[in-house]
Amino acid sequence: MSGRGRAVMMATGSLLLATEGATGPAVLNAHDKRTGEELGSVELPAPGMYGMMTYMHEGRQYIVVQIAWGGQFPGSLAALALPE
Amino acid sequence: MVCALFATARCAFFSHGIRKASSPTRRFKARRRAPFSRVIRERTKPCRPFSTSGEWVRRTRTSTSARTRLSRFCAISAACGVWWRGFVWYRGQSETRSTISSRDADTAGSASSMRAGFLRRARTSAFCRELSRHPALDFPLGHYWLGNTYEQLGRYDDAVGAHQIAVAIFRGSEIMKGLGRAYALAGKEHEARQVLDELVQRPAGTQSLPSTRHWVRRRAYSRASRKRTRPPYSKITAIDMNTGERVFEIPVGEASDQLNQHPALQGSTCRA
Repeated sequence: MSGRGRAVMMATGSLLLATEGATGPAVLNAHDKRTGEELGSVELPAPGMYGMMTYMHEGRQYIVVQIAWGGQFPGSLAALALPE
Repeated sequence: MVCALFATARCAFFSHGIRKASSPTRRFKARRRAPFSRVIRERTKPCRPFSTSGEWVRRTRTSTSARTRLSRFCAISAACGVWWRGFVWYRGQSETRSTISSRDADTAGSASSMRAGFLRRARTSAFCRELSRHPALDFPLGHYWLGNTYEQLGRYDDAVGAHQIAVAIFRGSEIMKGLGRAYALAGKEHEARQVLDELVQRPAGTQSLPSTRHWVRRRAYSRASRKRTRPPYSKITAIDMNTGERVFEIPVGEASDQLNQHPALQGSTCRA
């Protein structure tokens, strides 16, 4: 009945990162962990599935999302980082 | 002399008999050794004391012991009993649940006749089990019954709303009668007359309502049109683990077209 969104979530110090996109545009949203307010949104090539992790490499923070969408992205990883 | 001969013959006979008589003893012991073994055992049974050659005839046949048969019978009976007990329990459970759910729908028991009608129709256990579930949104009789209940509670505006949804889903004559009655009770004479005019002018036999049983079986409670789990669906729900309260809920993704175009939900906002 309702949207078939599958949310992959990850909580950081102050943010709640969640993907959506099974029934709409594939995005990665950042919410305030305490209120749920949406703080930011980044597009993804395909809806997120299964899991997400973050790590620091040479002073840059990366977020890696598992994505999957039919034949185009049969189980891929999307890595995001802030521009230098 | 004769006596001696007789005694000798008797001794000979008895000695022979005693020697052979030990065979039944062995047979007895063999039986006692494993009297009621579960495995199919070999039973030695002499058909007669002496064969023509003077030896014991050893006849073997395989069979299940009486105890094996008894234990099998008991196991099958117990299984049937357990199944029957579970069946009866499940039926009672379903009937109780359907009674409770229809009582909840009554809200303060004002429409007990509806519940009685419900249960009268819901005699079979499978039917009761179906009724104990949440009905689908596009079940027109559900909205119709809700409107009737609102009427009995005196909430005529709510009754009009419920009947309008029912009519939007299915324009059956019975449901339209309900809408007209709700309009009349709410004091909306003009709308009530419109509904009555439409009812009078429509040709007979058009869009008659399928039976309740049909709806319940096919649409309202069918597995295809309902969720297996309870809401919230497609939401991120934050729960304070100290208090158990829901702090916030975020919808995930957008509503499906089926939901967006649903007549029962027109005018409401699906997306937060």
